[in-house]
Amino acid sequence: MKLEVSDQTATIELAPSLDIFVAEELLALFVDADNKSLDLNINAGGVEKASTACLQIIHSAAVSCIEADRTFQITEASDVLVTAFKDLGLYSKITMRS
Amino acid sequence: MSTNDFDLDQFKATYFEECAELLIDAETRLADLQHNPENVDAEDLNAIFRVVHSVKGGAGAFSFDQLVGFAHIYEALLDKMRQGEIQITEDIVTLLLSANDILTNLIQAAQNGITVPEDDFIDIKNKLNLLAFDQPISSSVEEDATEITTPEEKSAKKYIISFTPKPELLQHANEPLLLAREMKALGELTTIVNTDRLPSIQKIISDEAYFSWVFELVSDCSLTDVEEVFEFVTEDCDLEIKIDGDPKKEEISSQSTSSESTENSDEKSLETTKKQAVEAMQAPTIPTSVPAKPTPAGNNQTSQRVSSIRVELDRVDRLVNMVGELVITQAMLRQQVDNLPSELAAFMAKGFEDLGMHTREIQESVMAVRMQPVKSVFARIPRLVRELASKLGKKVELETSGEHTEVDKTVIEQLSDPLTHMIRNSLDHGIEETPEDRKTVGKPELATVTLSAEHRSGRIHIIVTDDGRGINRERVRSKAIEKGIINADENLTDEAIDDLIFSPGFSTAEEVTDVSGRGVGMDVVRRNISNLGGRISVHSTPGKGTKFVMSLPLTLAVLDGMVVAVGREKFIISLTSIIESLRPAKAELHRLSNGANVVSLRGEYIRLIKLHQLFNIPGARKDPSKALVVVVEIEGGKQVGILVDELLGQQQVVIKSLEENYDPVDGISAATILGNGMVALILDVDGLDAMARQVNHRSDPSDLEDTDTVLLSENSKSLTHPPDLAEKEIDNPLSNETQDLEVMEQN
Repeated sequence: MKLEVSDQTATIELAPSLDIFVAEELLALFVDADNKSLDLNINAGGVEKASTACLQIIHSAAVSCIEADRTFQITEASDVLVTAFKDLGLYSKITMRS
Repeated sequence: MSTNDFDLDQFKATYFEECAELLIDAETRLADLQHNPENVDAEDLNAIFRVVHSVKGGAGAFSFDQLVGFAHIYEALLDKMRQGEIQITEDIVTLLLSANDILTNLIQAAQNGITVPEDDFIDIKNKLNLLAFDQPISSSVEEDATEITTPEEKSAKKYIISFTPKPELLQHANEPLLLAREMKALGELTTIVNTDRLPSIQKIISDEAYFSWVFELVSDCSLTDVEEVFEFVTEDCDLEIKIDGDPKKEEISSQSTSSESTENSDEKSLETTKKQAVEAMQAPTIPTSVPAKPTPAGNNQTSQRVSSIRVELDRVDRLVNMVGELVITQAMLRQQVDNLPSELAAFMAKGFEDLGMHTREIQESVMAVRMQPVKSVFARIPRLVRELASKLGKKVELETSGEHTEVDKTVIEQLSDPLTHMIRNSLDHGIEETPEDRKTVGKPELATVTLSAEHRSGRIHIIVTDDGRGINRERVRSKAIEKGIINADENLTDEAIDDLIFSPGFSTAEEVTDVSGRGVGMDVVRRNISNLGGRISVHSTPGKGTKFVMSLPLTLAVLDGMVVAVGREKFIISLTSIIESLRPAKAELHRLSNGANVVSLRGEYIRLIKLHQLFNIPGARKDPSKALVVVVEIEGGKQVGILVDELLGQQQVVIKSLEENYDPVDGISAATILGNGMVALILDVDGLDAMARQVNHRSDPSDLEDTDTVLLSENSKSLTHPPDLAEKEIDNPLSNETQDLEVMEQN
């Protein structure tokens, strides 16, 4: 995973395996984007595995963005990620664009 | 549970390890119940229930359906018992013991990837069912445990599950996502998440849990099924499970380790959580404010008290090896001190004294990590005794003591087979054929087999005693003659006759059974124990019983030894086998007619073992009166004297296996590396005794040319040798072996 910045928007392409072991790396990317006051565009098309730890981080990043009047969007969310959000009861709390 | 994105195979080994430990606990507690069914400790029942519940839970995760099915029924019965709904009687305890045996078999089968034929345990399963659910299963049709439900559990119910993870839940490899999916598989699930505890991205900790949930599950599954979803996370969460609209069953399950939740009133927790959840749902799609509450996790979290951890044996072994190397390095450095100037040497000597003390302490601490109570081996014996007694139609009670005696894990692992064999031998041969036979000779029908363990002189003694008929010496003797083990005219002591049962191929059993009697038993037991550096002896009183004593080293990793020199070679003799050392006067030395040399010591004759002769060592002192005799104890409590040039001092040595690093060498049990980096061989005194008996005739007459020669009467087997071996050549050039070994170690 890496952060690509363009026009005040950070694009992060999520790793296929969003397990707890990548949570720290994911968090670091979001913190970096937050430090730079960037809008966030998350490309989640390749996610094949999800975990609560990573979903918490994504959710927190979204909240932090919205609070700071920045935009946060998840694009091309894979079925795995959508199902994970639904299973944890988070689906209604987040907007995803396919 | 969906296992699509979670490979459970990696946890199977751990599960089976835990099962083994749990079964030992269950077996021990069942033995307590068996001894005292009238006065049962409730904690024993609870503990057995927890064991079966845990076995079942894990089995469910790995889809061991047969195991789950049986454990479910067994668990249900235990639950009724601990609720006081079923009275504990001897029959019930016997049933529990059988159920435990079946559970053990099913676990073993699951581990081996096989299924046990249902017919093998259908009787016990039916009995358990009858007691647990008032309904036996009449056929052996394979069942799914999840379908075994009581009538009241069959209608659909609405469960409200309040689940608040503790911060550390994720760190303990628990995953709420999987829990949610597992519940989804049980029925219709509505999930309400509460994100109030979630901090901002700058403050969040990646592996801490912040969400909490209220799940509403509509399902016809049982409460137990719902509870099972959470059974591995109960320590890491606050959990409440209620059945909606059933006041009787409200608050049916509330599991939490926090004092806060246990103090909550019946309604408070759920209502509060629900309210919070509803509020959360009513909040904007993305919350606009971050909760101002303090972060629940991280710095202020109360860490769970951990009293033990599971460590791979390989890691411990590596640690032991490295400490062994440290000991060797320290000894090597210590030797260099002698080469230093005197003022520096004194200073360094003090330092090395402290270092030696600390090294020794580290070594003992590391060795202690590998020490385990023999309980893990003893716990398997009650079942063995039950099965054998039933098969043989005997009434036998097993008494155990000293099960908390600790011994190195390597010894424990090797202990099981010989011990099992000894117990089989005691039940099959030791105990009278029938309870009536015992009554006839004035003994109680119930025979007693005692299994005990104790530390003695730096070794562990495992003692198996029975109150049976003792060894029939006349029969043993005639069988030994018949099989050509001894000559018909040999005059043996009682002890020597008893010792014949350890001869290869010896058996007095009239017919071969699946219990024993194939004649491949006790000699293998002795060989196995001998390979462990141990000894086994038998003491029998006709009509009264037999006692087997196994003496084993506490560890197979280090050894307290005496370094001795023979010529230019150095050997180690285990301190535990040394009785004394002496320089014999010429008048005390005698030669037997068969060529063996003995030394007279306080009126007893002790046979001499000449290392220089056995191993062809040049330059050694051949005259015993100019050398030293180290008197050692060998198998059966006998003594022999090992002839050496001098004693160089005591030293704890790290044992290096010859079998693993080289090849077995007769008379040598292992090797070690001395402080000077040279390899020294550790003597196997029993092996030396056997070798010496074969080569007595080759003793050089010049060795004892100036000594009195006395012909002694030989009535002991230990002082005889088979005549056909009289001219056997010795081919054991030790110097070459040692040289090879040194090269190998350096490589």
